[in-house]
Formats: sequence, C-alpha cells, structure tokens
Amino acid sequence: MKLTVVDRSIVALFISVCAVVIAKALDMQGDAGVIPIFVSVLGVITCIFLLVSTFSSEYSQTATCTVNWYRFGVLSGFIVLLLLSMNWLGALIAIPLFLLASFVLLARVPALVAISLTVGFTVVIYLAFIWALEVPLPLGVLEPWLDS
Amino acid sequence: MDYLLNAIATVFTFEALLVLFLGTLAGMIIGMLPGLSSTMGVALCIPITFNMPPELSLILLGAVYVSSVYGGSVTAILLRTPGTDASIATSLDGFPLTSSGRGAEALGIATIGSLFGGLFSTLALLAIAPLLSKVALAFGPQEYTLLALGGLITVIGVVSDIPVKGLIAAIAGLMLATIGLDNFTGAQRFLFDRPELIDGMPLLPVLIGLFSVSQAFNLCVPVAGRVLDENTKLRFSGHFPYFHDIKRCLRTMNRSSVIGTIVGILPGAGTSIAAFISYNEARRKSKNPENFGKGELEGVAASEAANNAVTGGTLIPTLTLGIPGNAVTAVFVGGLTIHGLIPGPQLFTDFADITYTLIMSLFLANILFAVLGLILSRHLVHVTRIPGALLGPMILIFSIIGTYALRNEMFDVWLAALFGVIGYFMERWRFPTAPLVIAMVLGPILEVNFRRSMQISDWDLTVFFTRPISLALVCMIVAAIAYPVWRHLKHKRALNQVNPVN
Repeated sequence: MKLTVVDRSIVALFISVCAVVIAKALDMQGDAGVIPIFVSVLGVITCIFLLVSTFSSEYSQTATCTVNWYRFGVLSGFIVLLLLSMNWLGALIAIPLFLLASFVLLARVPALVAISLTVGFTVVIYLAFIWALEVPLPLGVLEPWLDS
Repeated sequence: MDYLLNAIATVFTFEALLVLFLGTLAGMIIGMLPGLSSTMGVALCIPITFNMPPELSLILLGAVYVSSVYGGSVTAILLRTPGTDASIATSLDGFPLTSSGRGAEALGIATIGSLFGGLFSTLALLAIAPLLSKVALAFGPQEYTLLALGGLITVIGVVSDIPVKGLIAAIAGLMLATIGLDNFTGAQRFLFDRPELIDGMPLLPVLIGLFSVSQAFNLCVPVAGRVLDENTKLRFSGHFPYFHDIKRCLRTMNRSSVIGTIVGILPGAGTSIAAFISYNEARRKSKNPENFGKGELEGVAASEAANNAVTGGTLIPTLTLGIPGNAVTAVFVGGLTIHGLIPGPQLFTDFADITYTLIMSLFLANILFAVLGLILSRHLVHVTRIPGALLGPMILIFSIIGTYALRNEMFDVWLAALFGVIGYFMERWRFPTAPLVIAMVLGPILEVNFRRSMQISDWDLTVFFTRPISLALVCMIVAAIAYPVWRHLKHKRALNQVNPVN
C-alpha cells in the first residue's frame, strides 16, 4: 500500500474522530468541553495540511515500509489467545504455551531448544514476579495448588 | 558541616554500603526490564523498608530511584524498548548506534552522561536547594501552561521528520489526555462505559504498548528480525567511548545537566521533557545536527545527562517543600512519611542527619551505577545477538506482566496490546510515537493550568504576557518555533542561489 493512500485514509479517520469529539464536547457541562473542542479543531486543520501535502510530487516518492501480514496475523492471534486464556487457564500455563508456540512457529527453533527456553523463562517469571515481587498474576486452574 | 561529616560516616558503614549496592543493582535491573518503571521500583521497595532504620530506608529508595533511571537507557539503546518515557530521547540515537554495531560505545557515553548529570544534580541538591525552590514557587498556572506548551512544541520539532505527522500524533495524545472525569466540573468525558477510565487513560499501559509491545512486533514480524542490522558486527574495541568523543560531549553534558536539574525542580515537568529539551539544544548547538536521530553520541549524552540530572532536581522541591516533582518522588514522599519524616524545611533542620545521609548516598549510588554499568555493558551488549523472534515474545511477556502488575487489571493489558499494534503501524507509516506519549503526560498539566489561568483572568488571554516569567517563556516558545523555520528558509534560499532552477 502506498504511503499517500495510508495517509489519506488516516486523515479521513482522524477527521471523523474529531467530528465525534466536537459533537460530544458541545454537550458537556461548564467549560469541560473547551479543550477537547480546541484540540479537535486543531486536529482537523492539521489533517487538512497533511491531506494537501500528500498531493505534492515529493511526497508521493516517499518510501513505505512493507509488513509481513502472515507473521503479523500469527503473532496478533497468539497475543489475543494469551490474553483470553490468562484468566481461566492461569498465567503459568498460558505464558509457556504462548512462548512455545512463538518459538516454534515464528523463531523456527528446534522443539528441544524451544522447550528449554520456555521452561527456563517461565521459571524466571515465576521466581521474579510471583515469588519475589508477589505480583498477583491470575493462577487459573493452578490456583488450588499454588495459592497455598 | 557537622551534618555532612556525620552523613559520610553513616554512609560508609557496612550495612549502608550493602544496602546501597543491592539498591543500585536492583534499580538497574528494574530500569532495564521493559515494563518496569522507576516509580514501580521505588514503590516495590517501600514494603521492604518497613523494618529498616530510616537512614537505610532512604539509602535504598534513593539508590533504586537514581539507578533505575540509568537502567532504562540500557534497553533503550540495545533494544529500543525504554522502560519509561525518560529514556525515549536516548533511544533516538542509541538504537541507531546499536544497529550500526556501536552499542557498546553508546552504552559507555550513556553511563558517563548519566554519571555527570546525576552528580551535578546531587551537588545542586546539596548546595542550592532552598534558593531554587523559591524560584519554582514563583511559577503560577500561566507559567505551567506555557511550560507544558513549550515542552510539547519541542518534542514535535525534535522527533518528526514530517512535522505535520508529529503534530497529529501530539493531538491524538492530547485527545487521550481528556478522557476521564473532568477535575473542574466532574463531567464524564469519553468514558465509553468503562469504569477503568474514570481516572483518565492510564499512561503506563499506553507507554508500554507504544514502546515495548510494538518493539516485540518489530522483532517478530520480519522473517529475520533482529536488534542488530544484518552483516553488522558488535564493535567491542569501542567499548569505552574514545577520549575525543567524551571531550566533544562534555559541553553538551554540562548544558544538559543544568537543564535537567532546572526542569527537575519544576513540579510536573519530568524527566522526558528535560531529556527532549536537552536533546533539542544539543542538536541545535551541534556542528553535525543532521546526524541526530541517525546515531549521534552527543544525542545519547544529552538525553542521559538530562534525565539523570532530573533525579536530584526533583528531590529539591520534594525534600524542601514537600512538593513531589513527578510520580517517583510522590512515591518517595510515601516512603518518607512511613518513617515519620514529613517532607519540608524541617528535614534540613530536625532530621538533617538523615537527609544529608540520603544526599551523600545519592553521590555514591551515582558512582556505583556508573561502575556497574561500565562493567556490565560489555556483557549486556550480547543481547543484541539474540534473534528477534526469540527476544520479541520475551519482551512481550515482560511487558504484559509489568502492565498487569500496575493495577492488577486485564483491561490495562489489553490496552497495552492495542497500543502495541498502533505503535507498530505508526512507525511503519512514519507517525512518531513520542509526541503522543508526551502529549498524554503534558495534556492534563496544560488543561488544568490553562483553565485555572482563564478562571483567574476571566478568559483574558493577555494574562500570559503580563507576568515577567510567563512573558519570558512566551519569548522562548516563539524563538523555539521561529528559529527552525528561519533556518529552514535560510537553507532553502542558499540552495536556490546555488541552483536557481530549483
């Protein structure tokens, strides 16, 4: 995707957000909406500047960064699964599963290396955060054993 | 003088030195870990100090505070994952230096800069604390409004190669800063039915998301992603910066230490503003301003000297007036009161022994983290050899646990993940992330003080020009905007004279 297309899409999105903010801020009591309105108006003006500049020949030559959508999707999916499972499965099960899957599928290291790294890192997490710093991470199904 | 001698005697006991060493090491590690901040480090140590004598407690808290600010620079330089906003400016030049195989040199100059700034501000704390506190007291809402505005403008100018995009990022940050209950009217603003947002958009999850989680994406998403550029080797021969490099950076470190100390004294301004103002000044005064942002040692020295100088600076109003300059010193005040030490002028009279012990321990902590930093940086630099797809998930887990530990809320973790994705694409699409975060920090200061000024003056904007300090700040802001524009126009005119066709 070209940077000009991305920027024009962002301009459209940002102007829409600013319009919603202004509409909501107008209904706020007292002077609570003054700053949101001021900031949004400034946002609209800045977006117009960006929109105008995307039409310059110099701007259209600006290089854009490519994204490996497959790997991005896999990592994002893993993160969503990790966060969803942390509460009921427990951090000490969800985290190693996430690490193992990431090491095998994204880093493509041999299974034995991945398992060693996962176990080692999980032990560090347990010792540093749960045992030493007493961070109350969700323990999930392990709660009956670890809580005591 | 007696107080000082007693303090020196106390600091050089075995227990004090042991606490100092452990505190410095712990602070460095906390600062290095992406997701753990100085505030969190000091807060985590307060329960440990419950059963300790007040002198040792303050030595521990002080050591953790100063060394964690330095520790943040290590990950900012090696991995571009600053644990706090204090090290964002450091990563601008530190990470490009690492990418080009000069990570050890960057760490070396960061250590020297941090030591320089830390010692300077501790000296200021010792020598001129009461005098400078009086200057800070003269600041009213107008001055704070202008200070926040100036900080914001500086940041946009510094980090954006396309300033309009920097401005849009800053506006997005200001919008996020308006979320939550309004302090003046109690109105609910943009809460989206989420009670977690009543106190405002939490800063640290956003910060961790934009800088740490996005870096995990940067490392994992490319097939061969890694911290170090392909085909580049770590230059261990440049482990310590060359003498001429240190000499070249000396003036910058001097200037940045002064800026850091002064900014630290002003409550609310914080380490990030000091680092960015110093970075901007270093670039402005440099013979090679075009190298900034691409891997310039002077940039690292400026940022690190300034953010470490803030540590002593923030303690000046905290200890003498009881006004904490930032979140860390607010936690620090909590640590003091646990031991019956009420911050204020009596700390320098009734509890002078303890207070001067703290100040002396800060001197030692600064020297200790510099020694440890120089020894450990040789080993820490190997982190850059780890493949990105191995390092990325580990950074992500630290970030997630660090975010969760702030309030034990999964909402914060989701927020960090969301801002991680936003940060990843902002970088891809050349929107700088620093203005967004800084605007989130400065937004509330700007809004509260602007509205307070307007209430006092009955919406008369000339109030910003009637006080000498605010007028001076207005002049500085105008100069900060006008100077780069004037220089750009001058450069363009010179180019036109050389090549009239363009």
